[in-house]
Amino acid sequence: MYSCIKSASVYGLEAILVEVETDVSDGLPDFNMSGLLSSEVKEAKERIKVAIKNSNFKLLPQRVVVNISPADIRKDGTGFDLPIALGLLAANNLITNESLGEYFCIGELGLDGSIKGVKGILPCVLMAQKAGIKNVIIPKANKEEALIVEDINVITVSNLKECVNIINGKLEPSSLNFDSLDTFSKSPIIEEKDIKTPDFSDVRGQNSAKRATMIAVAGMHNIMYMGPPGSGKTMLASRIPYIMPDMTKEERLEVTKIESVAGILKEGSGLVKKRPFRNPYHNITLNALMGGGAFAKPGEITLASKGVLFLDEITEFNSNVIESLRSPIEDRKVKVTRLNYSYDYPADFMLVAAMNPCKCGYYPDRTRCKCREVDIRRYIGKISNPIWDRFDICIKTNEIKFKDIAYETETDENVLSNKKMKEMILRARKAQLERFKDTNINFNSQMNSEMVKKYCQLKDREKELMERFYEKKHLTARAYTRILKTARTIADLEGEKDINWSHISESFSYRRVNE
Amino acid sequence: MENLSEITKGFYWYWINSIPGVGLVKIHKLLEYFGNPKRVFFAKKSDYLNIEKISENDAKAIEESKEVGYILKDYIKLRKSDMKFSYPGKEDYPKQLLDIENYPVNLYYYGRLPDFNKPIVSIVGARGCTDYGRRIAYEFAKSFAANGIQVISGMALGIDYYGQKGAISAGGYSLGVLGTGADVCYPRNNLELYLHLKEHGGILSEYKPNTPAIPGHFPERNRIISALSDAVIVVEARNKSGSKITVDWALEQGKDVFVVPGRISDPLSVGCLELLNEGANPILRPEDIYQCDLISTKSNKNQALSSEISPQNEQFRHNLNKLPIASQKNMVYSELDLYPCALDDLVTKTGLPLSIVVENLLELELEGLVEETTKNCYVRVQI
Repeated sequence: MYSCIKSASVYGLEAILVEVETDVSDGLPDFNMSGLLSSEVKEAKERIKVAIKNSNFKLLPQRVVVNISPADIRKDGTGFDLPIALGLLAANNLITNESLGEYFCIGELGLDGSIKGVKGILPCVLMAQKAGIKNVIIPKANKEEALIVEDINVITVSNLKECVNIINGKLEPSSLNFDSLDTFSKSPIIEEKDIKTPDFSDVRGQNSAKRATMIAVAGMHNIMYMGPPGSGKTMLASRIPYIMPDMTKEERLEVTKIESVAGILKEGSGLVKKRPFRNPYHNITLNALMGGGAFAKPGEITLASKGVLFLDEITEFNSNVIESLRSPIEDRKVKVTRLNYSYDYPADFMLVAAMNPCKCGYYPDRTRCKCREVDIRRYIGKISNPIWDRFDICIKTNEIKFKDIAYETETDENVLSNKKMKEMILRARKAQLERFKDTNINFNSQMNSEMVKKYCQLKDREKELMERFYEKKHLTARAYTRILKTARTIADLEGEKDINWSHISESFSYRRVNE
Repeated sequence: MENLSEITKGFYWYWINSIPGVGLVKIHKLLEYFGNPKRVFFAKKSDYLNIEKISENDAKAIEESKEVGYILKDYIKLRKSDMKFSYPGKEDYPKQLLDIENYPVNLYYYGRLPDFNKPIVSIVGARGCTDYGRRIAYEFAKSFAANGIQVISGMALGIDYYGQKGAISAGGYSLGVLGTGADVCYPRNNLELYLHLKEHGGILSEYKPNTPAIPGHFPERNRIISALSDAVIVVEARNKSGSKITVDWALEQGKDVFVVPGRISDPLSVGCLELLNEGANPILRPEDIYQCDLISTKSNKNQALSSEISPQNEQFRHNLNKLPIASQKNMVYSELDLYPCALDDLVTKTGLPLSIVVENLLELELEGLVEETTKNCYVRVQI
């Protein structure tokens, strides 16, 4: 007897529809699987046999052939357990539903017949919906993820017996209603009431750094914090996702997809709401950052997409790891190429880095810093020029003074809080949206030199001052564009149409070290 | 051009400094006994043993060194190179050095030695200096050079470097006294300064060519620095500092010592303040150097070069007076000194909004009055 059921395999961030064909016939008992399968798929046969036995189905000794087509694409993952098991049962006439071929299913089997959650459900269900499939069977653990997709009948199952009964029409699928529904999907809103959102008003002092952060977020400029140990660099960086504008539906879908494929989606979270904040340690390898490995997986830069990639102590990272960021920062995506395939992962992140000004961290406070000048230059030189060039904003964080910790030195009105910063950022984003509506970019930081010429026009006085500074500081053309781009964002933040001298001078103060 | 007898004479001086195991102290003992190196060369082994501190081994080493060919070969190579060689009694050998107890018996140099008819000061200080010290060393040296005062130092990192750079920037003469061979640039980072001094100033060493950096040599060469100068200026020094060695030499040699005062809490000023406590002269302005009699008399000899205040200082004072009182720019400027001040602190001190402070800082920077020493830390350029 022959049976066929649909399933999917994940490639990059997209899924491909596959068909699981099963045939049983008389002959010497055997279990053969074909279709360019990875070892975890091949191992499925033992799991399936035991799971079927433990679910009280009786199978006779027989010759089984399973083929997953298209047979020329490599398949991996544990999601084929369920379709193979169902196919086997159908081929033995234990599933009576004639239209099994119309079902789409995915899931991992336990030896006791239970069905476990798998990675990458969201892209699979999205693909199934596009392919016009009506019913999808998925593990109960992946419920919220699958429910993000609209116009498709999601059946969640927790064990093989239940699954077979539902298909055979002996059991009604469990109800999928929720009390409260998210704006964008049928999945529930997860309330995180217990956790207080980190707020910029918690950061003591550091007014210039806070303002620089706001400018960076407004124009999606990459930012570098430089300061002594314990001056709040990490604190500032970790608050950045909270002042970024809320994600649109498309952005949320993309982030959820990435997290689903990477298998880091929290159970029951549905569409991801919080912007990602990834802070890999400096022991990270090239593949872990960029994505890849023998079976390519998204790397940190992809996981940080639409959010923040924070490299704390950037000088301690392997230099080849840091250098590899150059192209993804420009392209906003990363290409992972292996012998048999090539994936494009998104890498649309804001790069935030932190470093000390010298090895001991206290320069220029010479009462504590005994580093030699050469060593200081060498320390800063650990970051190559091309990488420095990608930081539009570089700001010093200062040591926190006792009065900042001990007393409430700032009144509520003039302290920058998340709310206030977000408002200003939204204003700047709106101006940028208007400016770039006919182009393929969204933010000031993405402008090329022609756009800078077009959108960052200076008046005579500013031009003259800029020229003086250009000559005096021996600026490069690259630095000049960078300063103008940042000045444009500052003007947008202030709600001004033209760039004036105060915007430029502020932008100057954010230029990088030794420029 | 030297005649042959002088070249031969030089060889004996070169030889006596090349005997393995016989250092400067023993050389001076030998010279004391025999009078000159030629006589040492032709003396018998038994004669050497009459001298205290010369052991059996030393005498053997002296005998052997007469036989080996490499010393002569090295000497010929040295004379063929563009490195100049001098020894006591030679025309270009500075007489001041002979006052040192164990004066150097060989001198190797590039460029020219300072003009001893004109005033000479040495500027010494910490290698890991602050921006304050750096600025003072630079500006003082610049002002000295503009007034025809020659600046010598050890070409080390920090104060030495900025002192010599300052002198060069005003087109003055500067001499670097090295603790390595004169053909070795140590530290490597000062290559630019080294090459400049080699061409337009002077590089001097008592050590043989190719001598690498050996810790013991650096305090030793300080005695040459102090001996060559009319006055020693200490800009910044930690509690235990090589600069204090230079000062000790200077006092022994009867030179005037000037010290730039610092803050009492600053570790880099502890050495300076102690020196002041012990009676050194404070130097508050470049002009204060004329308190040294030797320098003021020498300066008077060269009337044409001397003026009370350097043109740079004049220019600066003029600029300062031009700043309108109580303008925002002045508010920002008045909060700055030679110690780096962070941007946030400036905002707090002036009470002005960040954008105004930044704007004024940039303008001050454009006018050359303020400098950003490191990320968002600002200092005054002028003292």
